[in-house]
Amino acid sequence: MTQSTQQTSADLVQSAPSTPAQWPLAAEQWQRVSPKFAWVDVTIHLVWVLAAAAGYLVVLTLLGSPFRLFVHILVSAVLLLLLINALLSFRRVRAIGYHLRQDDLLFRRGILFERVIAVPYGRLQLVDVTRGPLLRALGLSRLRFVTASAATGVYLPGLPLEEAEALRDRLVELAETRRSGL
Amino acid sequence: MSSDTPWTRLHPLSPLLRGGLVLLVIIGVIVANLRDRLVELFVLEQYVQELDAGEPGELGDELGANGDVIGFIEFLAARQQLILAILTVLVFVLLIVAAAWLSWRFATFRITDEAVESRQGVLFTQHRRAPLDRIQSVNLQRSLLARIVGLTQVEVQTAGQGGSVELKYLGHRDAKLVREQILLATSTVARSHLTDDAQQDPGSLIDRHLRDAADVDIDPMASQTGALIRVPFGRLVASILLGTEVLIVLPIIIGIAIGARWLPTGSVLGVLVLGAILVSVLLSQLNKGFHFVLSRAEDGVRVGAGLTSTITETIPFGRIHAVEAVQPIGWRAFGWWKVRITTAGHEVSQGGQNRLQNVVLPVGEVDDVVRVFETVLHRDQEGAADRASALRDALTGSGAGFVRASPHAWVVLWFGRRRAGMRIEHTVPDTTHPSSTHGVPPQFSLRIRRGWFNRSLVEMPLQRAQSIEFARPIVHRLLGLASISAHTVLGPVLVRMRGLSLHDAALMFDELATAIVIAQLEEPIRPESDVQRLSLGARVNTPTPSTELGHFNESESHQ
Repeated sequence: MTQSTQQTSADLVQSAPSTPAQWPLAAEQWQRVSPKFAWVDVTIHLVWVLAAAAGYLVVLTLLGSPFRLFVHILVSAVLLLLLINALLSFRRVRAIGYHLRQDDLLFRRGILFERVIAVPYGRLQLVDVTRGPLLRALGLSRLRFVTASAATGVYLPGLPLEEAEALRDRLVELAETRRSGL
Repeated sequence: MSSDTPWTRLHPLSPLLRGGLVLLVIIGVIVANLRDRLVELFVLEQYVQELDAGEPGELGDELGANGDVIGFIEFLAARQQLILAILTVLVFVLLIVAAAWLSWRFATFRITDEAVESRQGVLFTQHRRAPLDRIQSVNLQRSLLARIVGLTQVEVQTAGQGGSVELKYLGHRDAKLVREQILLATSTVARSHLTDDAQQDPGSLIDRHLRDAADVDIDPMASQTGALIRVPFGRLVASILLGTEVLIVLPIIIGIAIGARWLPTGSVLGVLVLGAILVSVLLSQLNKGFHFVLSRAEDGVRVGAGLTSTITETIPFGRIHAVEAVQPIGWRAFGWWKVRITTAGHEVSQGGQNRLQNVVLPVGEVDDVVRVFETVLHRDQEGAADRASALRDALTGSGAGFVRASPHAWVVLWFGRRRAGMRIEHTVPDTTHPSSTHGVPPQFSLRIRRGWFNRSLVEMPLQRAQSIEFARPIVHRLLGLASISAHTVLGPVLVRMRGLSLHDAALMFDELATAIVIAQLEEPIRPESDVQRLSLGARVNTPTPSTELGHFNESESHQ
């Protein structure tokens, strides 16, 4: 730990050099999930968009279209945003990454709402590997890390199954050697 | 062997409180209001006809004059049906008593050296088990009715979102003994004596009852060490009236009341509803702060409060994950603060007026806040004076040594930008030097200052952090800012700093990530698994209810 009793956090921050451009890790150091997962993500989002659009159409036909123009525009805009969101899946999946450091795990997620999370190995309570029908069809799975805090929220969707299981075993092994109390 | 420990019964009056009394009251209300209808249903038409007709006959006169219960009884007596009616009522009462007795007989509990278990139910048995090493806190609750009757409910809370084991109800003294037993079994500190109220001079029955009813349940040893923190009634009332809820809602109510002439009638009704809600919220705040007492028991922090329904909560040390001191704008002139905590195992979803809802100080001055932080987080470890001055500076001073929010952060932090800051605080100095009596590794806490309308200071010991998060929501991203959070168990305290510049945030993230790894490595493995279990012989057996009643008879005969 670099902080001594004399140096406060403010001093530390002022005396430190500027942040490297690729913080916290260089791009190639991040382990990625399989790009095939993007198709699953797109599919799920598109299904939602279609369901929403279909629902809206049903409402229109049942009620005989009583809405004014701006409501139509509003709903169309929302559907368009959802569609764009769906298409961004590829970018989004590329932004998911993890990296096993010496004593903790780094996890990254999100483009518009970027998040980086560091979890010490000893804090891992359990590791969950699940596979829904879509994931199973592509040979993928979803890995979830559970700590005592619900907010930790680290999950890796779209890992190839062998990689997920290997990672799970490795994490459990690391967690066992560093386990601590709550 | 744990399976040999005998099961103990609850207090015989428990079924009454668990639902019996309410049922009786409801039945009484129904009968009083629907008396005529019931009479029509169950009794001869003759009575009704005579009453309606108001005939000038002898009986008719009497009935016409007083067509109430007494008149009904006289009517029955005249018809020799009184006995039958009395018998029916008696059978009904006996059925209720039998059901209550059955429910009492099948409700038992026991404390083994592995868990606290409770069993209840006749047809559908329910067996609840709380392993001793998962117990977070043991609470005593006494509603107004329970206090009159002299009973207390013991609630054993476990970690996680699982249920808790509730013992409804025990006599007040028994409840305290049970709590001591449980805490003794879960703590690692050996004690040479138990709190022993039963051996004090009991006095007459009425004296004892009154004392029990008024009892606020403070650890007797704590009163000597001066670890008590009290809340004067005047301060409590003033603080409630100046609190955020009142400051927001009262102007709305007054505004609508003044403008009632021009507003539709619906809004006036809305004001009444709003007013009623406000009053109930204020009353519940009063209830949670009335006669508030914070003391430090050997095994944890004991918090007690309550006006109509008292509750005492015992929170073991080590379960307290984060502490927050908040000062609403209305209290700033007086310099009052409120302190609340996040504990492992507290179910946030569980509301109800019997919960203290994680508040360890409803209102207090800066000195009180410093004492609470010290009591709750540090338990007399070295360096108290340094900690106190650092805390004072963080609360009301300029916040030396804190990493500030970026100048651009006014967009997301508004007026709170000046005050906002975070700092990794060195709370316990390193005493691992061989010459010191007990080697304590240094401890670090994360402190975050924020807010303007509601000023707050959050402190979280770094051993309690589960993970660290660096986040850039859209607005932060556009401004070149970031936010840092430390994750811990679910609770009211949010450990998060927004509006940091990217450079500062990255640095703090690295620093914190390293710190929590170190803090977590230095933490001992759960002590319960390493310390020998206390011997069973030291435990005191709670008297069974029959012995308790026998005790009453005994003391009466001595009068």
